[in-house]
Amino acid sequence: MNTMFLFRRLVFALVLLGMVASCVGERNPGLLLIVGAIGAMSWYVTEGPSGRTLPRWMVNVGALLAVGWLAVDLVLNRVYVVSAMTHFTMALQLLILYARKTDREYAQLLVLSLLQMIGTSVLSVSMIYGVFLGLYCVIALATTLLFHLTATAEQVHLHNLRSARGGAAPARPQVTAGRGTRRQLRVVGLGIGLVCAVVAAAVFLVVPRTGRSGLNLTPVAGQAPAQTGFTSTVRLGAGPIGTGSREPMLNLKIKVRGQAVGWKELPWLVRGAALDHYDVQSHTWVRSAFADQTDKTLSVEVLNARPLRPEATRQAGAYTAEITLRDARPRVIFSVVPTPTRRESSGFDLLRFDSDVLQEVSFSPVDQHLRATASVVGAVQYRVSWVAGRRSRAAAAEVRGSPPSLTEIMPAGGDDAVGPPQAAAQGRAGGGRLSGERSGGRFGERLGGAGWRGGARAVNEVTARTYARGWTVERDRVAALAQRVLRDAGIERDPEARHTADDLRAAAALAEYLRRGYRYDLNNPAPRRGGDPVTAFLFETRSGHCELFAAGLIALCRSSGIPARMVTGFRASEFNTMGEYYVVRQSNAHAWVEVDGGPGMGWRTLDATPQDRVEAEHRAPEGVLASVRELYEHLEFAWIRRVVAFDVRTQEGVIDNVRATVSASSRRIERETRGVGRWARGRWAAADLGYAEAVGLALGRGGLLIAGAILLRLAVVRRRRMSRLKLAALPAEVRQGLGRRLGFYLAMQDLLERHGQRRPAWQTPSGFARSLAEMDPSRFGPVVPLTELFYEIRFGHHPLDDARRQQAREQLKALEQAIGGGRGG
Amino acid sequence: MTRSRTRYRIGSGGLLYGLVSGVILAAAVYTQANLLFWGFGLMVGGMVISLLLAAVGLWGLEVERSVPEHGAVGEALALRYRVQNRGWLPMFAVVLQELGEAGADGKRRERAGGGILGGSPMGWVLHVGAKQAVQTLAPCRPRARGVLRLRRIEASTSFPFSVIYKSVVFEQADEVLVFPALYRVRRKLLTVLSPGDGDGRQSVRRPQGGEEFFGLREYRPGDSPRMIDWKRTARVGTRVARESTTPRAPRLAIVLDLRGAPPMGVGGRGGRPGVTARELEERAISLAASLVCEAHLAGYRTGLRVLGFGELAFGPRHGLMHRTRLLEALAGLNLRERDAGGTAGRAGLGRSDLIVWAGRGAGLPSRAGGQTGVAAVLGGADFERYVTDPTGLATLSEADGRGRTGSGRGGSDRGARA
Repeated sequence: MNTMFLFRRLVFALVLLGMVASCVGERNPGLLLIVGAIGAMSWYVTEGPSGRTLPRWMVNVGALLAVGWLAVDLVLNRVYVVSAMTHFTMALQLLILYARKTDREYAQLLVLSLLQMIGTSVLSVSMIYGVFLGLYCVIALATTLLFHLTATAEQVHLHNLRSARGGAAPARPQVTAGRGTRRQLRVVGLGIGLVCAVVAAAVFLVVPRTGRSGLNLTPVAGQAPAQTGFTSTVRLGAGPIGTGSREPMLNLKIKVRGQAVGWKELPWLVRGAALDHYDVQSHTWVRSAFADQTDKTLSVEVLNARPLRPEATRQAGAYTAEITLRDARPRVIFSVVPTPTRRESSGFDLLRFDSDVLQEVSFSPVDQHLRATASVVGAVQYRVSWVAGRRSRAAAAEVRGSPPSLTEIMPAGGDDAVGPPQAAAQGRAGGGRLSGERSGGRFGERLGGAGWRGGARAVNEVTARTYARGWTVERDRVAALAQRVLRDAGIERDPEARHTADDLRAAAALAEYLRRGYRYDLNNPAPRRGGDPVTAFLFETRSGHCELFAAGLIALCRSSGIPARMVTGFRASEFNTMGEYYVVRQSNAHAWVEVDGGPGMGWRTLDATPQDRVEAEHRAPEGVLASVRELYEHLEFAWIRRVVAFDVRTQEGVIDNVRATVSASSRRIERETRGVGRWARGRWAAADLGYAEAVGLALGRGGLLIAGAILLRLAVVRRRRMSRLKLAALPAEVRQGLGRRLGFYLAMQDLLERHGQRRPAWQTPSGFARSLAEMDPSRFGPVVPLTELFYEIRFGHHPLDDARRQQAREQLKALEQAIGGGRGG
Repeated sequence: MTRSRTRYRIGSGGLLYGLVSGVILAAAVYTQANLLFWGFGLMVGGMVISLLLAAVGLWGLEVERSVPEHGAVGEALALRYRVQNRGWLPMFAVVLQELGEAGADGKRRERAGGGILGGSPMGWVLHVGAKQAVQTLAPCRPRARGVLRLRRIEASTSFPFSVIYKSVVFEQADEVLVFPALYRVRRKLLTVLSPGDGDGRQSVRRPQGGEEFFGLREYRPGDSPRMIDWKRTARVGTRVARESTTPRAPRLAIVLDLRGAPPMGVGGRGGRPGVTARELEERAISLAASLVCEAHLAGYRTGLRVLGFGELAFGPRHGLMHRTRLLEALAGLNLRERDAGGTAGRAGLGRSDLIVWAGRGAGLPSRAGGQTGVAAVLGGADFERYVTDPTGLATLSEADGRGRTGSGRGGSDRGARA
């Protein structure tokens, strides 16, 4: 067994697998290509026929370059510290792969590879990385075991070298191993791996989590994106953008009364950031400083101490969205709102937020903006509840078994009036709040009873009154357009009025105008130099993507005196029937508008983007590959939920399940044991045995036990006999016959061993017999004929006939007498 | 072989393992990344399996040492071990090490071999399966002559992750007599020192059936009829027998003079390390041992007398047993127990005696000039003048074997020098 060669191969495989896994976890195919090629080439360069390695000075220079790469990553590329360290360790490993390697370098390789995997495990939530990680653990176990063996041999050799200082160096110790080394090492390794896996599962389940990560992984706000995707600020005017990647961002499971619901026809809007300020210079929508000042940190534990207004929630019903966010580094907490229809817009009133990972959130009652106060590593799960509207009734219908129809979801009547019944219902239920009251709804009530007005930070009243109002870019031109659209819709709206009863109707009419008259296009051209992209969208290009539609609607609304703000998030439309959840991808990023409907209405969602075009843009590909992808994503979702985003609630659930199972099993065993005892006592009583019968029964049982023990003993003796005679490798029928016939030889061995003469394993029987005879012919003379007899039967296949049996008996007797006589003399 | 005690300890590998586990735990707690909790669980699993294997490891292990009877300084000495696993679990990476005697405080240990060995020899077994036995060896090179006493063997393993070292100590007393360092003596030295025909033969003019004619005498009953000189018998009328000379091995009487205080050391100039007085004495002993071996190979009858150690003397004889006895005597010399002034000086030595001592050599006779009238003196300080290459017992035995199977003793000498 060439352990050193095997070890070298395993180390190479381990290091390469670790680097590939890190690149996969980081989703960096370019790095994977480069690192994989350089790493794979190292085997042929260093272990090939020529076997050349880099000189030490080149390795040192390479290490310095790696430090430079680390600095560039951190300072210029603004890569996460963990990612930068992963790249750094990767570079060092590549260098060592090309260097001359002793045990020290191999140990460095193993440690660096482990550190790299630790870093990647922090960042990655991918299931493929999980598979790689599992494979890595298996190879790491084998490598560690072999490293232990080779390092021990090297340690012994070095010790002997030190001892022989000044003299000739002793040769490297030869591998001394028994039979079946490789097989037994595999079995032992498998056992070790199983024990490690079981203990790891137990530790994983039991170790408490705080959910509070010390890492700050919040990404730095970058430039305008080149493709669709969620951002917490919106920069317009960047020109054409491409479709974002189809990488899943989050999974959304919506439940009504504990039952998962979902529709492919009616998607949901996943609400992320609410942006109320438009910076004219940079053409960027951001959250205003006023809104930022209204943020207040809330403890999730306190928040969920008791549900608010349970009777109101019971009456109106509530949606609960379980969101599994795969990358929580941006700290944005997404919530869910129903997609607005043409006839109505839905309000958004957060009822409950619950998470076992997040400890604190910041919440603003002004724009209902939720944000994590600390970075969360990897995936995070949380639950958001809000008051149900009409769709909950449809959901309830689906739960009952009948799919919802549009007539169930949509309000009755064919006019374009915004549905006051729902608004009224929500107003009664407390679901909508007057914008003039500036109340934050139920969440706002938890801020100390005074809403944002009595919050910790003082808020400028003037700023508050102008929140999400006013439009400055070509105001007259835009206002004229809005007024014209409203007049066409039969709505009169005084731009100076603070609120009117027709505000929502007016906003809906403006949105409808954009939907009908403007074209959805990702390839919209950049505005002319110095021009404003919103104005260019409204009056020149008349085409653009969702952000421009939202910005255009806001401009029209605000120029008409209606408060409006932009909301960015996702449009969840891809329903995974296997797991009954929505899959939200990066390419599903979307922007829409929230409009203040005035007293009694609150902020309502409006989407001016043509729905059919958005749906076509977001539509998932179909076919066989789509099914496979759906299956994979379902598995990955399970991996993320069960492993990556394992939180306290899941932990408690698993522990409770285990406890309940153990308790139930123990109760069942106890019950059955009692049953057996009762049965035995009943049988005894029913048999009505007398004294003699009872004694006989006891003797019979004792006899059975003794017989069993004897059989066991015979089996052990037989096995030992086969082992001593080295007959284990022979066929069973040959083995048994030989075992019986060669009993005399074992008797001779026993006799000799009793007198201190044991045959060493390295000595053949004949050599042993000769050595004994030479040592003391008078005492050990009979050993030689007995051994010759042994050879005749064992290898000559002679039977143990009467003559040989007699001869063996006589020789044994002579040997016993000779040895006894010798001892006596 | 008895099993004395079992010990457990955490080695540097265990500390490293704990450090890595701590790093993973710290990273898991700091980042709350669940995969790292898995990783930490795996490390804990490794710890648990290490504890389990340490608890049941080395169960049923038996180690038995077998040593050669003799060794020589500087020559590889293989301590062989028979490792038997009577347990039900295989054992991996078992390290065998010789231990010295425990010190007076019970903790400090003397070096294995009492300073004769440079360190504690180590052997290694990759794997011993259940109910299997293997043999391994621990190579070592003795650094000093004397009795190498081996008392304890420590078998240890830290399989699988070097976290916990488990060791079992076996008590087994063995002794190996380590001869002084052996060298090949320069080719002409023996022929110069002792009369002979150059091939190690010396004809003694004494009647006992040999090859050369010695004389005539009266026939005695019992003489072989072949010895009758028929011509002379016919001439004188009575039976006359012919006598031949008896060939006889040459004789070399070595006197090792170790009396009194050792002379001063030599050398040590020009940055070269000097040779201490004690080392000079050891060189003298080594030179005497080398002469004994060389003389044995050349067929000499070799005698030895050691001055300073009472009546330690051996008459001139030839034979392997005799050579071994002489080497054992030289190996067993304890310079701290010598009798400094109780022995007569060199005045009482014969002219043919060869004196070996620790100082400078003098009075080497030349072959052409015959005897100078005084005994030849070989000095340990001139060691390099007399010897060539280091050799060992194995080489000498091989040369001796070739001599026995060769055509004659002269042939053996040439074969040994080749």
